Amino acid sequence: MRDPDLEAQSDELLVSSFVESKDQRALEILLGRHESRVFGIAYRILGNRADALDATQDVFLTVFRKAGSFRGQAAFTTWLYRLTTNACHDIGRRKARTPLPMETLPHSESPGSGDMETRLGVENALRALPQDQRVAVVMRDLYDLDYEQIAAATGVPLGTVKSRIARGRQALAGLLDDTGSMEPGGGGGRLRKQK
Amino acid sequence: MNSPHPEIETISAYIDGEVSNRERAQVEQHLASCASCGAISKRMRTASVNVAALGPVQMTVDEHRALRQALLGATGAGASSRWRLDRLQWSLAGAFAVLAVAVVGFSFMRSIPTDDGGQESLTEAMAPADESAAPITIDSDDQIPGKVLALAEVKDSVSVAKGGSRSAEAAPEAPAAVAQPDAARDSSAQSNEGAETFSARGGGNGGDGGGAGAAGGSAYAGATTGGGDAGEALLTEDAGVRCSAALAATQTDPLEPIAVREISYKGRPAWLVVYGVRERSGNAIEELRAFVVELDACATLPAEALGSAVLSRSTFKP
Repeated sequence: MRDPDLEAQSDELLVSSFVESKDQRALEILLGRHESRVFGIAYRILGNRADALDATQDVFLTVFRKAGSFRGQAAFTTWLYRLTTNACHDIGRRKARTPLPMETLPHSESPGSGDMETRLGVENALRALPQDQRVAVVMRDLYDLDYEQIAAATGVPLGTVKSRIARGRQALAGLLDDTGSMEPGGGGGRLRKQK
Repeated sequence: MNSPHPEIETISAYIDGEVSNRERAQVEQHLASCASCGAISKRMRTASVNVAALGPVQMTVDEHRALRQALLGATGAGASSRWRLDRLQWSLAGAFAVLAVAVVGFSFMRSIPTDDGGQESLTEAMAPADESAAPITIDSDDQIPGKVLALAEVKDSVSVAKGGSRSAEAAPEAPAAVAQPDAARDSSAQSNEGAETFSARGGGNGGDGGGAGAAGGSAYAGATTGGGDAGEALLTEDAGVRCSAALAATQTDPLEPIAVREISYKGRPAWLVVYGVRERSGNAIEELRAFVVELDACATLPAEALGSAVLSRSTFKP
């Protein structure tokens, strides 16, 4: 049953509603608002959808279980992103010894987002980054978080975020050519090294 | 004129508008007169734009549904179990899909089809006759007829006698169920009245797993119905998740883990995993499949996660 009043509430108030009155609809609204974003970040970090879905489950299960511990000092999304990076980190660590070939087809559905080859190249370049840099770059460039939010989400100082983003971009620039496109015929995965 | 080159961190932050007014002025002044820093700035900006152009990733309808189902009622009693069992299913599905090698010919599996009079417990049928017997060893692929083969078509032939749970005898000390048997309630609700949940454990660490589950939620829980005379950990979550994380789930059949046993496969540790495919009505298992999952190829699993013999719960139509 839809509840316009509830749906109009901020994330933080929804968490309070759940904690205080055990109103599960509040959690369902939170899930609806943020699941795609959490999944998307997790997918970009982990590189495949199954793991991203796993991470998304982990994140929201933690939200559901620990809503009472969320005190609202920070934005709900900050907490959510922190949980997301933690979940991705855990999953990434578990599979560190047996990396799977990443999915080769992108799943973005935004219109006009470039030709397939370029997209594949950029995706593969992203995946080639160390995870810390990838997280920072994804959060900044793809999900438009500012440095402070990224610092809160990853639990590192602002200077570290700054450094990770810069080095991630530098590495990406080294993998992409000057125009940002990929070497033709590279199979979607071979990138031209920057001269 | 010849101001010092800014750090790449500063150039990057400048691109993001994450610099002070003073820094911005300095960077802009420098970039206007330094071709090399200008090139760096341009390349970093291009990288940033290219990443941004990837756009958000959308969940598919199936993923959306799966997430909802997995989290459904997560705040209520038993949700944890439901979720974990779902995850277990996914985990095993992933493991099966990628690393599965079918195994046939195990004596304990051959005994699964039962005659009407015998009503052999599926669990008993699947369990080794002697739990202290030597571990199963597969030394050659010659012993494996195919990549992925259905172990046995047991449609309409899997029948289980009431009271057939071995767990009460095999593990009287088994701890209480470590999670709410939500999924079991669901499945038993679909089953005919009198359906029995069977679970068993070998000489391994079922109890340990149960303890872990009770303590930290790190184990998939065995589920019980009816008399509730048994409940024990199956796969630890850690093990299942490790498999899942290492493997892509492509299996679409509705899988139901039945049994897992540690074996030796060509000298390497592996799981012999048996799972059932539930018929459309959900009332009965219509097919059993068995796979060897190579643990080395999956992930490094802690010894305590393997279990020497674990048989899972399942509910069958009598």
